[in-house]
Amino acid sequence: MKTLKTLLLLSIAAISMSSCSYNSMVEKQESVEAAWSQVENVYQRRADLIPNLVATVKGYAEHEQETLTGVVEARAKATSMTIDASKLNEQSLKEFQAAQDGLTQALSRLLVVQEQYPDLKANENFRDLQTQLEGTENRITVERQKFNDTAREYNTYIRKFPNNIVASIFSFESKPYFTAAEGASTAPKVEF
Amino acid sequence: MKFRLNSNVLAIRLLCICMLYIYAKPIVAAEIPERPNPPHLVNDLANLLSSSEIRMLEDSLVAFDKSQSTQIVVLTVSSLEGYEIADFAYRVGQTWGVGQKGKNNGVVMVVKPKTADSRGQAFISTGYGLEGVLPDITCSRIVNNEMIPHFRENDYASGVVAGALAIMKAVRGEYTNDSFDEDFDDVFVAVITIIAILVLAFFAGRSDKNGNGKGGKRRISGSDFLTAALFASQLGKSSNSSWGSFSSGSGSFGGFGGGSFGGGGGGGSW
Repeated sequence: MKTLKTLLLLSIAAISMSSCSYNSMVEKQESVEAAWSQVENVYQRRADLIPNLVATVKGYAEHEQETLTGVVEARAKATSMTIDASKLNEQSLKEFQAAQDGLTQALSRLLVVQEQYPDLKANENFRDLQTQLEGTENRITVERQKFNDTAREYNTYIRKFPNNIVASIFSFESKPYFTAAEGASTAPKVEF
Repeated sequence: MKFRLNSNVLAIRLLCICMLYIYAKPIVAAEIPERPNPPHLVNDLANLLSSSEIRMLEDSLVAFDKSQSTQIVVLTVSSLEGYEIADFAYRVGQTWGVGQKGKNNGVVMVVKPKTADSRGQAFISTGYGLEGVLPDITCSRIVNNEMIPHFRENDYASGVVAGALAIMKAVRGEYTNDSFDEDFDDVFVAVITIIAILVLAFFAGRSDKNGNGKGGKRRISGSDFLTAALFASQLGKSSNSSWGSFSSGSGSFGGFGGGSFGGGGGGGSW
């Protein structure tokens, strides 16, 4: 009788504890997804700047058709990749990041090219676009960092005991991180 | 002997761990200037401004914070600790929590003076909530057109003040401020007062009519109108006095509100 009572108490305690951690897991998962949508927002913001940028550069640097095409293609590839936040995993994030990093590289090639065109550099519209692009790159860095932080918090939480039991029952899976791509973390240096 | 050796190894390991803690900590602390305590909006860590300039700027920024709820931090540093200035300004805004939580209406202006071996840099970083009124282009123009010309002439005070004024102008232009509730109260009191006057006037007219019997002339008697006017003025007075105590603060900065930054902003160098 007594053991039954203890067992009952224990199971009640276990359920109440797990429901508590379950709710926290849901909250943390939600904030990871919110952070992810912010990441997609800032990448979208960058993609939105590009048509205007390409059009401006085209007017001054006709001989750079190849670089411009590279940017347009990289943009198309990057914008075609969107990931539903709930389906985020190692593989999908890797592909997403590869596409976005491709665009980053194409853009940095374009910005190196502009150095050869003084008229373009002096163009007010182009300078504004460049400022916006810089701001967007800063935002991307920030949002990626924030995403990694929230994902880390969530991952740590679901791996802790006894949360890991609840997590495996309700299949909470760990979220992937952004990794600094080789050479992408440092802005390309322009040599004179 | 063997035991002795082991304990030596252990001691060395422990020492290494201790040293790691001791040396790792100051490095972390040296990264970003700590949030000032007591909080200040003007933080002249590079000693570019005189004390009277700091006080004047601080006062106007505190007044701006009170009227618009937008917090503008001015920070001068002699070193960016190896950070890009945009990243540095963002981190200061985020870790200090400049701006109100939820509104995220903080601004951080960082100035790193020109020295013999490094160029001068300035950056304005905006909280999420201000990206609309202070887009990156505006920030970059404020830095390049309003501030850097003064900095080039080594006049840091004028440059910082010109930058702060330009930010305030930009924010005031579009940003709807905190006083929405007060405005609403104002309108509310005005409407109640008008209704009260009308009602009193109506009754006054009626009582006059009743008193005169067949006169049939609806007019407001002087004394009753006076009552209504007194009533209305009393209403206004009581509300005024309660706001008076609310708005006249101590004059010092109340503290950072926990605003969040997203990396927006613009800057320049000279």
